Amino acid sequence: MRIAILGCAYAVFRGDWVGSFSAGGTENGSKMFFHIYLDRNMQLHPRHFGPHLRDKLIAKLIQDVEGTCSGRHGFVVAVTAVETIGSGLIRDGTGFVTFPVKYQCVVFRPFKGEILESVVTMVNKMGFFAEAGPVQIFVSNHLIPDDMVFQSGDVPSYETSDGSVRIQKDSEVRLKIVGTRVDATEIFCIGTIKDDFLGLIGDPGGAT
Amino acid sequence: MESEEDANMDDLLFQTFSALEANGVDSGQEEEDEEVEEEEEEEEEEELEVEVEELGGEDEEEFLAEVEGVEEDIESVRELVGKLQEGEDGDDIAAEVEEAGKSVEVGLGELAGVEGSGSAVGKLRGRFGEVMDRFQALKGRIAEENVGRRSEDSLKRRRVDVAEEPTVPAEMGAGKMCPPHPGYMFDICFRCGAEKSTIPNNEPAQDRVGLRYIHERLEVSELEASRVRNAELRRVTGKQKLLLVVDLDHTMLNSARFTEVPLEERTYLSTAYHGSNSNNINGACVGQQQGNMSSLHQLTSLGMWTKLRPFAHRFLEEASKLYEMYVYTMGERAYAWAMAKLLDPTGQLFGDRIISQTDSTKRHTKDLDVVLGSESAVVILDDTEAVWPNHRSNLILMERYHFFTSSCNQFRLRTPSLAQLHRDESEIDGTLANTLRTLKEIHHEFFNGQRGKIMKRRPLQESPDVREVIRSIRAKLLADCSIVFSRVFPTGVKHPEFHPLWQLAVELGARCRTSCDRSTTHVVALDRGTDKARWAKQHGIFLVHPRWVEAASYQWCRPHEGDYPVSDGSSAQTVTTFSRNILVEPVVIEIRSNAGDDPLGEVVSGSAEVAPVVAPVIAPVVDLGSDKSEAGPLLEMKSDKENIASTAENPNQDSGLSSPDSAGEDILITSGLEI
Ligand SMILES: [Zn+2]
Repeated sequence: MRIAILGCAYAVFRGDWVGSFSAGGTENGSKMFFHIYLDRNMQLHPRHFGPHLRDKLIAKLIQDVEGTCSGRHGFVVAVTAVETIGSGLIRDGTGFVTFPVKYQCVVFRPFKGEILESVVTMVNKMGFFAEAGPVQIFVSNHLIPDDMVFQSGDVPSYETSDGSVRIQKDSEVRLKIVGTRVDATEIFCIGTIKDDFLGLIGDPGGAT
Repeated sequence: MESEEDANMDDLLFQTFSALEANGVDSGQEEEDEEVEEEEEEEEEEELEVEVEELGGEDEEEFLAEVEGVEEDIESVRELVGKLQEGEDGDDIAAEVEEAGKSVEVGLGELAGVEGSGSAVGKLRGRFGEVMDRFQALKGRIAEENVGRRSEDSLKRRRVDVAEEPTVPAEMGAGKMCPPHPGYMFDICFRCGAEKSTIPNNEPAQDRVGLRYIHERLEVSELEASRVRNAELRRVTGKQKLLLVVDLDHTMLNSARFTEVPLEERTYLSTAYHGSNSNNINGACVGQQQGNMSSLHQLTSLGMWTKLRPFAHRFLEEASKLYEMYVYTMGERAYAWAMAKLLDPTGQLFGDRIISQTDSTKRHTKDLDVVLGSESAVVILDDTEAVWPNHRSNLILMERYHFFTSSCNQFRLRTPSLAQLHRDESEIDGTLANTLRTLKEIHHEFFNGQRGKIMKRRPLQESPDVREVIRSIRAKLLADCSIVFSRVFPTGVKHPEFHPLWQLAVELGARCRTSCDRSTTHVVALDRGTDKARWAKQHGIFLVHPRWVEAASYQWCRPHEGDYPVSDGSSAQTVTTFSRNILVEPVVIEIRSNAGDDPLGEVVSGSAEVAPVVAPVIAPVVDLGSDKSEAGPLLEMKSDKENIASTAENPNQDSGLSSPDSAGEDILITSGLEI
């Protein structure tokens, strides 16, 4: 049985994050993506002044914020709308103009207890690393089912004794987050696959 | 750059986040999958039996009985652990489990010796490991409960802490055994997910082992490290392998900065090691002694030349069949990875097991703590004993490989470097070939040492220890020798038995005496004129230089006495290596169109088939350089210097294209010309 993976509606990412980014939730529903309002003071060079000023501002906003991470809000996935652009203020000396911009965006912020799908990036005897979009997740061997053991070799992996399940680099894995650490610029997670319906969902190269 | 005014809404959002953070989105089920586990175990057993049946052979029945015995032991351990889990009184049972655990280890050790038992033993080990892991975890919990019982207050306080610290997820199924936390990744406990900073500061920080070579943000507790170490031991020995930690500089290779290589040396290098163009991205590879693998590399990005020790590739390839290998160097990470790439271009031998100075836990020494290998199964190859203060008995001390002159200068050696001498270590019987032989022997002794006695189960005998194996192999090297030292130590030394050379000889199994008698087999002297030296000459006893003892230590065999004569004191020693080395001279060979009637041309056209190259070809000429093997036991040898001179005078003849005497030279020459 598959947990319903309700790909969050925001499948259209303007940033570089592609891949298995479809995040799902338990019965509580997904709470990883948020649509929020944010503010930002944008500085613009006078050469952009003209009929396309607004477009320039928005383009710059998108360039500046999409793909960034703030510890407070999470990863900014996409700017969805620009609410208001305040009146500009000319800076002394530089000629740059500062515009206060209020915009709407989708942020990605994983929480403890959530389920997400990820791609394995590295396997070692301590566990494995995986990525879900911009988030790095570590799954230690404490949180890997006991019947899966580490195998070194050309391609290190965790596999069951009969070899039917094999987690290696580029495998797709569904995991549950047991802890997060939010820095000013990054979010890290510890995950587990030691639970029902967690673990391998796709082999390297295979589609989910 | 967010504006301050509109922070209200921001805060609201943040509160939501915090609330989420606190409660999690946990579905809240804590699985009790005991039953499922048991079913799985039964399945495993069936599989095991099938595999054992495939084993066949006359030992089968005995082996099966043995397997059954071990299985029973494991089962009894499992039962005990089960009791423990149900909360029966801890301490007695824990002791029992440990006792039984030991006997299982012994049983497994014996089984491992049987040929073809690998998979069955591996499986048993895996099962046993699981049980023991569970036991260790339980033991930790019991210990903690005991502490808690002793001071009710502290327990109460902890409860309050837990209530106040919602980030310690007592409800999480995964976190059923924290604290103590096994370790942290990204500063989060990688078992329960608790943040490091929120944990009361009762865990001493020095018990942590940073594992930066795995990930720079990973650190584990000493307890966890030992758990992993044991798991590694079971996993690796289950595959009939040991662990091998390999140093880089002077052990596997020698590097020199561009600026440190003088012009004439550079000229020599580019001619003698001129070879086919390389596919190596890192830099041009220049020349080769072995097959297609190049041995001299020019790394422009690092600004250095690197010369791999002859035989390095074959050595690693062969060793990887018996050992799981690590690189451990005092060099920096970028250098370590670049060198590992040269040694192991496909990355299959080392994987990510590359530990550099950056990853080491201590500044000037190396330690097995980061390796996560059990000391009883790790062999270390290094040229510096001092960096392994805690693991000397795991060490195979390597003779330093000084290829570049700058390397000799760094070590303040007055002897010329190999490049200066236009020589290099031999592939066939050089250092690495010797070491490979030793490694094979250690591996064999470790796994098959108790063969024969295998089927009789001895209780409580410890499983083999690689340190013990190394010691016993070394003690056989000079076992038949009875040595008398003549004026090697300063006169008037009261306790010659404390002299390093004396101790080394004893370590190698020789008997050392202070005076000559009928049992004496070797007189070790620096001068032919001493009484004992003359006595040796009269009685036809070996008279050898002290380097003979050192050579035995480095070569792991009894060296040929004739190679270590005692000189008259007039001719200085120019030998740079204990290891057998050979001449690598640049020679220009012209390919002529009328090669048919030219004896030289025939050979060249032969080699040209292997590698079609444009004339004129510069090919390395390889030669043994000396007839050491033919030299008599005493003093008949020419000094190495003379040998070199004679070969250099006469390169064409010595290129061996004429008639080599021994088969060994033949092979060498062939390998030398394989471009
Ligand atoms: Zn923990």
